[in-house]
Amino acid sequence: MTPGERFDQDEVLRFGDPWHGLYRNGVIELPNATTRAPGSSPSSGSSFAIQIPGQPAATTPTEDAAQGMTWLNYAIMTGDDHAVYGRPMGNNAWIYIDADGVPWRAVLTGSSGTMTITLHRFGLFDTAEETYSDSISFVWISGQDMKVDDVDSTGRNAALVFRDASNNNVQRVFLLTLSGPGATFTVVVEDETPDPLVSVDAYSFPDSIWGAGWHRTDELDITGPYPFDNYGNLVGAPSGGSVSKALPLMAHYSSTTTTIVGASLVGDTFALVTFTTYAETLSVTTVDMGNLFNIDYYYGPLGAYFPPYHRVTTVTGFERISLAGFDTEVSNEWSGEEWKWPPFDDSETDETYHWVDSTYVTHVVSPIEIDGHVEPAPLSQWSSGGSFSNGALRGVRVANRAYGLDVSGGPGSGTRFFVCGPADNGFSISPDTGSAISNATTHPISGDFVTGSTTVCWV
Amino acid sequence: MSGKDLTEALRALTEQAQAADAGPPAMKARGAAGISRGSALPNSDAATSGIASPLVETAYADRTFHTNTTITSSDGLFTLIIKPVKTIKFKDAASRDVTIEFKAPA
Repeated sequence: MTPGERFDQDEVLRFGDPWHGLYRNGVIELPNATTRAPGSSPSSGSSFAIQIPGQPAATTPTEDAAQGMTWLNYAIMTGDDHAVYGRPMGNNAWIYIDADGVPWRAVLTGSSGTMTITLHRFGLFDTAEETYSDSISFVWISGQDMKVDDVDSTGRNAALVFRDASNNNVQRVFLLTLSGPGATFTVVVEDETPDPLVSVDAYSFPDSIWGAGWHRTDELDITGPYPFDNYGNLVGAPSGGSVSKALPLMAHYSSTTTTIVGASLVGDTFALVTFTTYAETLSVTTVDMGNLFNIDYYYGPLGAYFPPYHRVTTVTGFERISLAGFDTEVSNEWSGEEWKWPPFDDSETDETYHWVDSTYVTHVVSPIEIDGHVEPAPLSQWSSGGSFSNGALRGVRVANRAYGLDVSGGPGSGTRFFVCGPADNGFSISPDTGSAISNATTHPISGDFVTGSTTVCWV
Repeated sequence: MSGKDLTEALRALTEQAQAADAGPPAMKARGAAGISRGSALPNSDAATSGIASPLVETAYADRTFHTNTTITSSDGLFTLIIKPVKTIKFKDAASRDVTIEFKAPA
């Protein structure tokens, strides 16, 4: 009898989905080195295991393996629309294996002040619908979009991430837990949002020279430099007379900023996915000491003389994404200089000098290098670690267990530097070839990490 | 072997061959056969003539089934409930009842 035909006296030996492998270029790459068209294409690289605890191990007979089949004792849910056996359930639904090992389709819905989970018995044919639901009080905030970022292998835990609808920044994170048998299940939601949401750790190096004030007596005796106090007064300077203030002679400081970019359940363990940008800035200012008290450079708003200066600033640092304890980072460096009341005019400079106005000009000494390669012109407008002109470096969610470092906003928007998983990563060779890492997928069981220019997904 | 012996042997072989082509024995005289009896299983219509094809199932509803068995997909997500057939009733071309009985699956 031809396989697939049916007769009442047939015996079913195995059934399920034996077609597993990497979905890439529109086909499933099977273990016998052949390919097969999928029932439906995954919507993204997200790949989730659905594992019933205690489900017996599956073996693949030789004759099945020869056809490229693999029988598994777990199912795979694919894409952020959570497709099972090629049928998407929607991002707000997943499979819950209850305390008795029975599968249910869990559907999350919300209404004013309430979050509801409804269970629908899954996997039976031609049987009456069986549903149960449980609700909790929950505050929904307008302008925030909820996404189920990840689901664990039993569907008993789901990471709910709320992002700003306009800029996609993470605002709130919750861990939703389902427990008990389907008929009497309960839902619990715990707030996992860090406080503060964005952590900034600033540090001032002890070699900084913040003082940059000079005093001139009525007798024209000049002393300094003096440090400033918190009110901008010169500490230790004589009273009366005139004051000249410049930028700090040497500003040496760093800042570490950590934001949340998502949440994962790698190995069924909940963890926030973080993006950290570190920038160490060294600015050395050379003051025109011959013009400390030149009336031409009297700077009204400061109530003081403001001498001409030349300042060179170097920024070094890194951008790092931490996913389930695995760090992926790139280094960056940039150097620029600026003049206030420069000893030259715009007729003497080329287009690499940016004249903000006739008294102030900036110039990039060495363009931004990220991960060892020089970035194109738009990124050379770097002002400090992690931000430049109207763009910024940020971590983005690519799939449930794959995140990327991107330029967001500005002319270089969309440039990707790397993608990373919980155990592996892939870097762009240069910004122009970043498309090879525009997609990524992490196998929910083995952790194998694959990148691609089009959708890749473990199925 | 002498020349005479050879001649004798050839003659004997020739006569045997001719005898083989002699045709069937003559038909026995009418009534020469002895008396004999047949036997059949009691209470069976079929015994006299066997099952006359085709067999046509009386009605699907007439089937009986063994206890339900279940089989799940390898991942455990899907469950098939199977009721194995126990008996199917037929009528043959002569409208005689025929029943097929199946064993329960092991």
